[in-house]
Amino acid sequence: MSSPIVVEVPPRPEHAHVLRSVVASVAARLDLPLDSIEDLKIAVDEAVAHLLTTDGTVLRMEVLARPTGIEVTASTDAPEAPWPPAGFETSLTWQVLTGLTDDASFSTDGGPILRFTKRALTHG
Amino acid sequence: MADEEREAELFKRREEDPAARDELVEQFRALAEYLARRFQGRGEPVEDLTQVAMIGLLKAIDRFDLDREVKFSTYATATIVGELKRHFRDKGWSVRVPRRLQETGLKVSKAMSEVSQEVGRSPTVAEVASHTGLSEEEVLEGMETVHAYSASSLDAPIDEEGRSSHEIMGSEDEQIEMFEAWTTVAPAIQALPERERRILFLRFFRGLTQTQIADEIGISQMHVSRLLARTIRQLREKVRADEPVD
Repeated sequence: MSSPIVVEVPPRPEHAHVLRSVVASVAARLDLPLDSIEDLKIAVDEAVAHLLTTDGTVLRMEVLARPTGIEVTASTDAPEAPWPPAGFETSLTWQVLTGLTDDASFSTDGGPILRFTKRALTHG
Repeated sequence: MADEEREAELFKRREEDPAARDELVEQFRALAEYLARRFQGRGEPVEDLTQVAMIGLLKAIDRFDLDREVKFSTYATATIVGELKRHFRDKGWSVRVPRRLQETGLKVSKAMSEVSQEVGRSPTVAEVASHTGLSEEEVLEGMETVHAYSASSLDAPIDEEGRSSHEIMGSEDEQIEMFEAWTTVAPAIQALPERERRILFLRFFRGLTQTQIADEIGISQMHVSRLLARTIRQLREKVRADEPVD
């Protein structure tokens, strides 16, 4: 197991591409098929778009490469607020994340956290 | 020599005599068509490019100054190429993509469909890299480039092969189910063009991969990916716009 790659950017939409590129690059190393990589990029965009509504001062992403696939954790340091927000399970963000990734979850540890995974190809 | 004199004479009359202008257009139509073809293979249909080139030709005819020390064909070429370039810029090459990257992008998208035929699924970056001889970084760059242009070809009509809308969109029950889960964006989904709705439906409710959807609809996987990303972006903007401002 490798240690996670951590990227922090100011919480602005124009930085989403940095996070997308990091995820795409790690996913490519794990031999994920290209359509899965495109799914992941859309998922990163969506997670970022949602986290940008949460008033944090930093946008943090942790990418974990496992032989079985990739795990992405996106969070902000936004102050305590109801998390997930009311109606989150019918929100576009949640539908997109659960629809495009193999496993999505949310949690909080001082700030809102969105996590999702995408499985690598199983060879043989 | 006689041709040049005739040409000069037509230019003198172009403003008051539409027939003179038409004759000039006919005379240089082949040049416009030739230049349009030079911009082929970048995701824009050649008919559109020809139209853009013709607009460039008309501008050149109207603006050409006989006193200039330059042949009309030279002036027209510059004007037409300028018009074509502006067309691509307006259509989504928002930043100028260096030639090397454009070529990489084309190589990557070509290799993607070839490898995907071979392996029967969406290829990996490593597979595309070994097929093209590009590095994995270059393949990733190339994928970005493919995304960077051709906004308009996304809207090109696709062949529905006479399928009923049920086959395309699933049963009514399934559609209702989709709208229920996506309540926040249901009206926006209903307002989407049929093909975009169908892609959303197939990806999120049938769970098909982008590659499977590509086969189903008859477009490339990159095209599906671009449409999907764009549709979700549009829905997101709609949701944000609808949110109450505090």
